[in-house]
Amino acid sequence: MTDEPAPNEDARLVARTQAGDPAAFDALVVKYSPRLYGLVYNMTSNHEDTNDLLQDVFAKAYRSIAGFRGNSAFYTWIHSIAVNMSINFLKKRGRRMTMSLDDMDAGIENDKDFIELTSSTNPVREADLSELQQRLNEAMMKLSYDHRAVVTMFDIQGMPHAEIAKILGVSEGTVRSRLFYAHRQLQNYLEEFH
Amino acid sequence: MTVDEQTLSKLLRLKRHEQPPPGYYDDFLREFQTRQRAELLRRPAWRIALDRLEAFSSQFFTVARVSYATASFAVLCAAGILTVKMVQHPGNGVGATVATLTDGRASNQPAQLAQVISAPRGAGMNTMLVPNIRIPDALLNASAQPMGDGQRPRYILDTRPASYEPPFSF
Repeated sequence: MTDEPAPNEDARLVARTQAGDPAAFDALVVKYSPRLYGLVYNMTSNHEDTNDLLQDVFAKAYRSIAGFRGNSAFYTWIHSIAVNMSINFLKKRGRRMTMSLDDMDAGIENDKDFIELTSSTNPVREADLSELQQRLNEAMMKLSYDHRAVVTMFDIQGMPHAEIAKILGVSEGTVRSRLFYAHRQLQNYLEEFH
Repeated sequence: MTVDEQTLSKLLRLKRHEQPPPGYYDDFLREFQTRQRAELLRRPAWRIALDRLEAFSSQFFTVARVSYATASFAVLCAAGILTVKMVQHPGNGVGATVATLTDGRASNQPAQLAQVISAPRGAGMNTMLVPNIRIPDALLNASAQPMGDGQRPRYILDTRPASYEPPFSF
């Protein structure tokens, strides 16, 4: 999830799309939809909204790709579109929010973090973990859109600070500061729960 | 219980496992392609007509380009031939016309002379080589005066007033 795609391959696909080959853009959709799904989903916490928004993100990218000059990587460009469209969507949606969360995949049981959190030495038990996760989702929705975007990209998607800074068009210091503040808020919210 | 930074990071990382139903991404691509096609159909009629016109005209594009080049070449050739003919027969120029008009018989017709010299470019083939020129009134009046004794006839050749009198400043 954290490894960045090869920019040369993306550049070739972009060039082919610009030359009028729709199959090349389909390849980009296949490549980036899981990653962008995670980004948009963790911003909206709603599967249906994520699906619609992601369709719009790729449609917008397809319409604008003729003007893409390659000054940044396609990876950065498409993520910027996704973040901006998600934030605009959330501003329009306002408080009218329903959480429709996806299920955890089966791979979670083999996840190192899951094993550590549910081990006998850890105060968090499996039953608690489920509740804690639910509480965490609620806490995420209480963060501002900018803070939520940073937490999603850094903590959930594992992107480096520099890449997040490029996507958001801010300095790395701003990214770090937003992360610090967001973590504080999340911790406070989870502590209230216990 | 306090949720420390490390625990929080682990909890957040576990959210990676929240995934859409199996087969979702395959359906997603199909839906995207369907939406794209639908969007194409929803485009305004004038835009669709313009696209079709462009596609239709593109097959003639090569022929049109050749025709344009041929026409340009023909115009250049015609201009070249005309120029060569003008150079070979300078007597056909405006200067000759003016000389004829000012030759004795016309020396009392300054208005007619001025009219010929300052005729617009499109007035005739001969005027194409000469821009609109205004002859000073003094000069026209001088040429219009009746010739006295000892005065030689004055001519205007190739738009420049000339005289048979030998120049003093050479």
